[in-house]
Amino acid sequence: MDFGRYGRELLLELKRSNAAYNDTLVSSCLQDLNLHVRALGDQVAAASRDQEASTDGKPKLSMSVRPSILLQEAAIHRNKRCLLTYHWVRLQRIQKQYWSPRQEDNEEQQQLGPAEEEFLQAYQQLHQRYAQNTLPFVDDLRAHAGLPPLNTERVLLRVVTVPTEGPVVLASGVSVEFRVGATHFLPWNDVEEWVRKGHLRLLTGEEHNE
Amino acid sequence: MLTKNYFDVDAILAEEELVPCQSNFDFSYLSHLDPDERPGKRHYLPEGTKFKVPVWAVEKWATLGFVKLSLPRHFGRKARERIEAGEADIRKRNERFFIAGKRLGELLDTYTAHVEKAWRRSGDSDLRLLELIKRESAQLRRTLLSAYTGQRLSQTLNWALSSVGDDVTEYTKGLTELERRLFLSGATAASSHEAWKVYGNGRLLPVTEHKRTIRSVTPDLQVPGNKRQRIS
Repeated sequence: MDFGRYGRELLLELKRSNAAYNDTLVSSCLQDLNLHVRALGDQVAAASRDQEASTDGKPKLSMSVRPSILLQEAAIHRNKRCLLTYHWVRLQRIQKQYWSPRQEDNEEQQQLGPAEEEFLQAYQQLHQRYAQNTLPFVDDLRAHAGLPPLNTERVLLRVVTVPTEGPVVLASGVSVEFRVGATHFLPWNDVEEWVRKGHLRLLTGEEHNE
Repeated sequence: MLTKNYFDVDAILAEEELVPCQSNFDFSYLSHLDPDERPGKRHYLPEGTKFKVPVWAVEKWATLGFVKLSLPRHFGRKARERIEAGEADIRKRNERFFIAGKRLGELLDTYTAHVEKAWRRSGDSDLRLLELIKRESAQLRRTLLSAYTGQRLSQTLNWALSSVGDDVTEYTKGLTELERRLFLSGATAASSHEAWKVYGNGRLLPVTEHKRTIRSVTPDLQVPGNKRQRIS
């Protein structure tokens, strides 16, 4: 019984991202966990038979067996944590992969085990049911997943260079005339393009006092 | 109990750090923990045996005063001095040096708090040992803080934010896991910023493996042959 060895190996497998589901290692870890459970039960049963009588007459466990009992319990929790983490991280990756089907050239798809394939199918069905209930003319929300929500929040800006001469009416209906050095408080959606190109600079509020 | 970092792989692996201990009494069934033990000779670990166990295994023993703890060698005084002088390869000592160090500091603090309370109640007077351990724990924290937030942090941030598109293998291979996470966050933010400057937020997602279908509601919404049409 190697305390925590299989759990450690499972987590090291996770660090080697996109490795296939390691059924053998998961089974070894579960087996190890069951051995610890059995050992704990045996030690507690043996200790209960050998209980010493304390000064108040109530039986208590001998001190010498307590460290081993605590160690077995810690090993059980340890194995459980490693198993749960292994499966949780893999499921997170599957979901992330599902929502980002565009992969970088050097990024491999995660290889799935049979249970993970079933999870992916169930997840896909859940997504389609939700999409159909949310947007009646769309059954795949992933095309919209990468798009940001409309942002009509107003932001403080300083004009670095004039993006367009003369007065201009923005899409939101706000009318503005840009002059170099002027400060404006405008909707983000209207000015994002000019901020990207460097014509306007976002202010945090502290520079406004300069 | 599920805490914020229950599923944190690096936090779990950092708890594999071996901690030197000394048993305060005989431990039944644990003779195999003695590194000098010949198999089958004894069924218990004798009092006073020095051995090493991972942080996760010793935590409960420490809070109950079953063992005396000390710091691993590469977190000890001499190692800390070399780290503060910038002479040590931190990643080589432990890939999760900072996370493991923080965990060890917490373990020592828990140990000293519980044991001090018990010893004061029972009238034991080995409080000098506890003071020594508290001092070691405080110095360890100082070393971790100065090593993490010093030159290494400024170099990491500098590389992360200014190396978009560059090969950073040479730099990142010396970083611990916590620093690599920080580097990755910075590099991702820098790349996203560069992509935003070029494409903005209005780029279309190409339809690749998944089929995007638009079921028409009225004839006006039909867009034959143009799969890339955005629905606004």
